[in-house]
Amino acid sequence: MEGLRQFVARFFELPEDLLLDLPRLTMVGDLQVLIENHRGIREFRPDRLVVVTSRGQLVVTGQDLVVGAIDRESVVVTGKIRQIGFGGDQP
Amino acid sequence: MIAFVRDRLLGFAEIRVRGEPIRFFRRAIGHGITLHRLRFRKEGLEAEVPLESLPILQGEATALGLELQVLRTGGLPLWLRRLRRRPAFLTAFLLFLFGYIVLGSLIWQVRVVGVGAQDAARLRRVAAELGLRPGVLRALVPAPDIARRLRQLPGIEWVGIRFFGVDAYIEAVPALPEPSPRQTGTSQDLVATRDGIVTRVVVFRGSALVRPGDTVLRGQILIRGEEGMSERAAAESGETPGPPIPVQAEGLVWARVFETVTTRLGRFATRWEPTGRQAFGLDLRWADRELSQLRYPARLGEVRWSLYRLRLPLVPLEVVWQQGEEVRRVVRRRSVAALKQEIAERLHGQMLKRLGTDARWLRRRESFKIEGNEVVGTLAVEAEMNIAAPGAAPVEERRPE
Repeated sequence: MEGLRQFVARFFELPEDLLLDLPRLTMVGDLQVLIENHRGIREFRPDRLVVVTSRGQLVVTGQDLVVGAIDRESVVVTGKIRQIGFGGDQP
Repeated sequence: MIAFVRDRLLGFAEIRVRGEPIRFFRRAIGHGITLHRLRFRKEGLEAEVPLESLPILQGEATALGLELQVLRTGGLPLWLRRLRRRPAFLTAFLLFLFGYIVLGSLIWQVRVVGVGAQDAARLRRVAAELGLRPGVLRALVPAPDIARRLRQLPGIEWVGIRFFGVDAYIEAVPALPEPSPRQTGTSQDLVATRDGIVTRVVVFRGSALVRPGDTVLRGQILIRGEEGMSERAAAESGETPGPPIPVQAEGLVWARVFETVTTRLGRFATRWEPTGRQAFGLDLRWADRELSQLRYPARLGEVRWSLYRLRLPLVPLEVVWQQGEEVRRVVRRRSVAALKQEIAERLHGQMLKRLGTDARWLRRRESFKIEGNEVVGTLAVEAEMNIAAPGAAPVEERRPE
């Protein structure tokens, strides 16, 4: 099913993040990251935030992390962001 | 930001959750609740939530066996509720609101732009008589009527009135300069623009009343604006001279004139020199009045940047914040030689301004003297120049009709 969606997205040149339900990340320097299309928070500490996405767990590490705002669609994380990466199993 | 403002308008609560809060917040998000400033503390996770969602969250916390603590609440609904409980505050707030609206609906300043100081004062005075003055309600000012009346004033070509906040701007365009006083069909004399001794007379039209060597006074008629047959021509032709014909007198009358200008400069000069430090200052201005107790801590030289006229929308309060290089006042004693040179330049400029550039300087004499802490310079010039100009002679010199 995912392969079909990917084919349709590429064939019709549509945004893949919409069709494939992919997370979208927007970073502002190392101060802020906006994660759209998430599926909730799994872990939260001042130095580590784990957000569940369709592509697995997105791990944000840093210092004095604060979730500026969170709703069903997006999470805004502020603080001193050091690293962002996908890790762990897919949900 | 929008959500933050919305929470302040609709009310918000700051909560702390102890236990296993991740699951709790996941459920909260599932209810469509937006959480703000979610942060980790030793005591638990803290967040700001909309006030209306508090019952749902309390229910979820109970269901999950967590402890939910409301740290504080705020926002417009709560403030209004508190205000209702305190009538004095509510009265003060309403009075403030009323005062703000009333003050903001008044005109606090009438500014005139586009014309010189004299015309501006005249426009301001007439506008005040017609109802446009500080202290009147803006809505009651008949701006189009006033503009129309102001346009009828002499020397004014066009006038428009616009309002910006509590300021009224009278935008005016001065009329073109009056045409030359020479008029067709009537006579026009040439009179002396200054005292002098006539050296040469050239008449193009009209009758000369002065000859070289005559001493003339300012305002005296030099060339009369009439032409007729001279007595000699009448005698030669045997005709009777008729009445003179009025003409526009034209001609040149050179005269030796004497002019003296004086200027003085102090031997101690005050200068503002940069100290190399940065300085800033904050001014508050109410309408045209500067609140003097809030002056700059240090004198500013070149202003690097300024936040000028951070004006509140309705009241005439301006906040002026400026930053620049600090300067200090330095008093220096100047040498007499340098002062003489500067005074000489100033005297020359003043004399040129007074005589004009067409005058031929015949003799000049400069003198300097020291009076206390000042050097006084005097420049006396004898020059030759044309002193004839169209104009009305003094009343006693007008010929009888």
